[in-house]
Amino acid sequence: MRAAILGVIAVVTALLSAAWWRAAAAESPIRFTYQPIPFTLETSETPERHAPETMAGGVALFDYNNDGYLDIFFANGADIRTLKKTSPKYSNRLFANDGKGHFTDVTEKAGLAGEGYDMAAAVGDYDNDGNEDLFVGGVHGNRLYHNNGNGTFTDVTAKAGIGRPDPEYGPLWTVGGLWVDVNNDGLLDLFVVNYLSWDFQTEPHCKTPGGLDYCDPKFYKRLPNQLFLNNGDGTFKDVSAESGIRAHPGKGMAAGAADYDLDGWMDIFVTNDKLENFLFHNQGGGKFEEVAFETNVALREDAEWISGMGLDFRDIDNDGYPDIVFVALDEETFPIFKNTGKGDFTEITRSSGMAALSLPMAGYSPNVYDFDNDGWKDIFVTRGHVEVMLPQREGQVDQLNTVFRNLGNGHPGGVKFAALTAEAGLASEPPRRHRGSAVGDLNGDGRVDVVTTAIGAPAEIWMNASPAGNHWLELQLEGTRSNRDAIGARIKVVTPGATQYNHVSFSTGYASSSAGPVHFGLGRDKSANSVEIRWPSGTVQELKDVSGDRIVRVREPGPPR
Amino acid sequence: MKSHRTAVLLLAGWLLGWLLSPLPGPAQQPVTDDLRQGLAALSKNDFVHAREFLEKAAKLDPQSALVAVALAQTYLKSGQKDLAVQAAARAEQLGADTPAIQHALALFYATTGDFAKAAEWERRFAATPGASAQSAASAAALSLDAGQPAEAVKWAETAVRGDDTPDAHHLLGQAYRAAGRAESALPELRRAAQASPGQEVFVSDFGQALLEHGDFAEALAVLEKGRRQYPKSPQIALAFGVACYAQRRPADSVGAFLDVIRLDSTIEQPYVFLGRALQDAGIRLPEVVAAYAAWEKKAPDNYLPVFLHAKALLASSNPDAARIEPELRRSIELNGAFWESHLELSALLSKQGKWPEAEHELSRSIELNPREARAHYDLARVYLHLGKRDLAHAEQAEYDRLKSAESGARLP
Repeated sequence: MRAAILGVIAVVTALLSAAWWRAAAAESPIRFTYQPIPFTLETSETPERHAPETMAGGVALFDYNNDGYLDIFFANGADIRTLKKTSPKYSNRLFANDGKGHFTDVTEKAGLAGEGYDMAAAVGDYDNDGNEDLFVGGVHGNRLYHNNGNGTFTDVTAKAGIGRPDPEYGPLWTVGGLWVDVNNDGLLDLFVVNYLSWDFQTEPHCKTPGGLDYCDPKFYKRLPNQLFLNNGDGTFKDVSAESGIRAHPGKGMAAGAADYDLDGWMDIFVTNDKLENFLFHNQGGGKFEEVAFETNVALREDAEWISGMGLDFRDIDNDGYPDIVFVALDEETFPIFKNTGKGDFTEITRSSGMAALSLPMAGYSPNVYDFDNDGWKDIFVTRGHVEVMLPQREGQVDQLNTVFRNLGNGHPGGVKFAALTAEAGLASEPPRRHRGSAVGDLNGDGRVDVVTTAIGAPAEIWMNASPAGNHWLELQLEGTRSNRDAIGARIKVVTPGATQYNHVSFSTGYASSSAGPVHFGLGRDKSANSVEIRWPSGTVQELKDVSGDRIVRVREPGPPR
Repeated sequence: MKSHRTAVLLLAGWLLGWLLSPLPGPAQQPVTDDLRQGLAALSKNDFVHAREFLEKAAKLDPQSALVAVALAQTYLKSGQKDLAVQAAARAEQLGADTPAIQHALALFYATTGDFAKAAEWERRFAATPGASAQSAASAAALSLDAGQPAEAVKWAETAVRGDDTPDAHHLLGQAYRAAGRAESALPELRRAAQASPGQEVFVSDFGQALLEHGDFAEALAVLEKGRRQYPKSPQIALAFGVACYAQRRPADSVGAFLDVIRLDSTIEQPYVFLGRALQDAGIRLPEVVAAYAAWEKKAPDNYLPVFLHAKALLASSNPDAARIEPELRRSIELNGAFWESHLELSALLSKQGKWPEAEHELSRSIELNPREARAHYDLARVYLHLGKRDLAHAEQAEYDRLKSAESGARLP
C-alpha cells in the first residue's frame, strides 16, 4: 500500500514538474523544443579519470553538400589508452539535413569517421572551391579533410603539413581550431588552440574525498598555440614562431576572431584554463602582439585565475565594436568584456547582471546569437562541470543548458541579461555534462537552433520555438577577392528601429564551429534600410532597402583574387 | 572547553561540602566555627563576613592550608588579587600533598585564569590513589584550557577508561583534536554526538572537527541536522555556513552567516566570512549591507565594520563611488595599516581614472602586504595608464610569480 502511495506521489510530482516547465516555456520570449539525434559522445571514461575524457565534444554546423541546409558533424573520442577509435561507437559522425528536421547519417560515405581521439571541429573553405572543408583537432593528432564537392572528403593532413608533432613539446592536444585570413590574402589560415601537455602513462592522479577525479590544470605543463599560413596550393606553413604566437604558451581552451580595433586585421582572443587569457593583436604583415594585459582582458577585475572555457567574440551591445564573452566554472562567473572603442575593454560581468546569474553555473560553450530576433544578441551556454566527484547536489556536475536573454542597452550600466533555463524549455532533457555547441537555422524558419553535445550522453538538438512575431535577415556572403567564406567581413544592418553589427566568424563556443549565414533579428522591422558589408579585402559594399525574413546571398564586388 | 570550565564546582561550595562530608585524607584540617562560617558566607557571596571569619580562623590556626585556600578565594572575589595570590601560595606551602587542597588550588587557579597552574594541581589531585574518573576528566579539561594537549589526551583517556560516558568521549575527542590527531578525535566526537544528540556542544564540536578534517559532506549533514535541532545556536549556524561554502552552496552559506548575526550580533566571524563571500550574496546583498551598517553603527571606531560595509556596497551591480569612497577613507583613518582598505580604495579610484591616487593607495597596500597578487596586477594596470611600462611589466611579473606560487603551479 505504502509503495503504491509513493508511486502515485512520484507520478503526480513528475507530471506537475513537466507541466510546470511547459507552462514556463510557453511564456518565455526564447524557447526551444528538444529533438533527438542518434549520436552519443563516447570519451572512454575510466575510473582513473584521464584528462581528455572530460574535455571532448566539438560539433559543427555546415552545409557540406551545398543543398542549402546546415548539416551536423560531431567529433568523438576514442580508447583513452591507445587514442584509437577501436570501436564503431567512437566514430565521428556526419548527419545530412533534409531541411525538414530529418537527419541521415552519411559518415561512411563522407569518409569522416576519423581515427584518433577527436575533440574540435572547425569549418572553413581553405581552397576557395565553394565546398566547406573540415579541420578536426584532437589528442595527439589533427586532421584536415578536404571537401571533394561530391559528398565525400579526403584526408589531406599530410599534404597540408598541419599534423606534425611539435619538435619541442612533442604530440599536442588540440581543443580548438579557427579559420581566419590573418594576412588578408584571400586565403583562410588556420589557428590551432592547444590545451596542455598530457601523457597517458605519466598523467597525475588526483584524489578527492569521493575518489579519483580530473586533475586541476596546474598539474600539467603549458602548450603553445599554432598558426598555419595558407600557401594557396593545399599546403600550409607553420608560422607560429615568426608570427609571435608561439612565444606565449598557455592552456588554451578556445579561440575567437574579430577585428576589435577596426584596423582591418582580424585579431584572435584565446581563453586559458587557470591562466591569463591572450589577445593576439594582428599588426599586419603576419605579426601578432599579445596585448591581453594592455587591453584589460587578461583577467577578471579581481585578477583571479579562472577556468576560461569556450568563448564568443562579437558585438553584444550594438555599438559596432566586438565584445568578448567567455564562460568558466561555478563561482567564477561568465565574464563579459565590453569593447570601449578606444583600443581596450572594460569588464561588465557584474553590471550586466551576468555575475549573479552565472555564479552557480559551470559553462563550456557560449554562442552569441539573437535567438528571439529582437535585435539584441543573446548568449546560449552549454553547462556541465569538468569534475565528477563534486558534492552530490542536484545539478552541480550535470547541469541544464541556459540561454541568457539580452534585455538591451537601455539599462544603467549598459546591457543586461536574464537567464532562461526551464523557462526556455531547456529542462525538458535531464541535466548533463554538456560540452560543445553549434548554432544555425536547421529548418529555415528564421530562428536559429542549437546542437549540443554531452559526455557519455546523447547529443541534443534544440529547435528554436520562440514566438515567431519578429522579423529576421540572414546574409550568406561569398568572397571573391576576400576568402570565399568571407570570414572577417563586418556587417552593419540599419533598420528603422535599430542599428546592429556582426561579422563573419565560424568560431563560436567550445571546440565547435557554426558555419551558417550571419543572422540578424530585425524585431518589428520587416526590412533593413541598409546593409553595409566591409569585406576583408577592404571593399565596402552597401545594399539598400533589403527586405527581411529571407537569406540574402551577397557576392563580393570587384575583380576576383 | 568552556563547558568544562563552567562545570567546575565553585570553590567555596566544594570546600564547604568537603568540610561537612570530609574526604578521606592524611592531613585532615581541624574544623573551626570560624572556618565553617567563613565558608558559608563565601558560598553566599558575602565576602565581607567571609573575610572576617576566615582571617579569624587563620589567626587561630595559621598552619591550616584549608583556611589559606578559602581566604585566597575570598580575596579574589573581593577584588584583591595580590592578597589572593599570596594566600594561595601559602596554601601551596602548607597543603601541597593534600588531595583536597590540590583540588581546591586547581579550582582557585582556574578562577584566576591561570590554567597552567590549575591543570598542574588538578593532575596531582587526579593522580592520588582512589581519585575518581571525574577528577581525571577535570585534569584533562584544565590541561586543554592550559594548551597542553598531550596531558589532556593522557588524562582524558584515563577518564574514558573509568567512566564510559558521552561526556568523557567528547572530552577525549576534543583532546585528540587539540593534539592534531583528527583521525582519533572524530570517532570519539561522533560517539558523543550520537549518544547524546541533545547536547548542543557535542553537535557543534563534532561538526567543527569534521570541517577541520575536510570531511565537508559529513560536516554538512551533521550541522544541517544540528541546525534543525538547535535553530538558535549561533555556533552551529556559523559552522553550517562554513560547511555550505565548502560544499559549494554559497547562497546557503550567506544565509547561515546572516542567521548567526541575527542570533548574536557580537560574534565577529560571520561578518568576516560574509566579506569573503559577497559575490554570492545575490538578492540578499541588501541584508548583508544592512548588517554591516548596523555593526558599523555599534562600533564606529572599529575600522573593520566600516571597511566591510564599503566592500559590501562595492559588490552591488552599480556601486555608488561617491558613497563608498568616504567609507573606505574613514576605514583607513581608523586603521591605516590594513592593506585591504587601500586595495579597495585604489580599485575605486582606478575606475574613476584617478591614476596617481590609485598608484599611491596600491603602493601602500603592497607595502603592508606584498604577497597579495591582485595588488601587483592592479598596480601594473595603473602604471600602464601612467605610461610607466617598465614598472607595469615588473609588477605583472611579480603577479605571475605570486599566482604561480599560490596555486602550486608547475610551469615550464
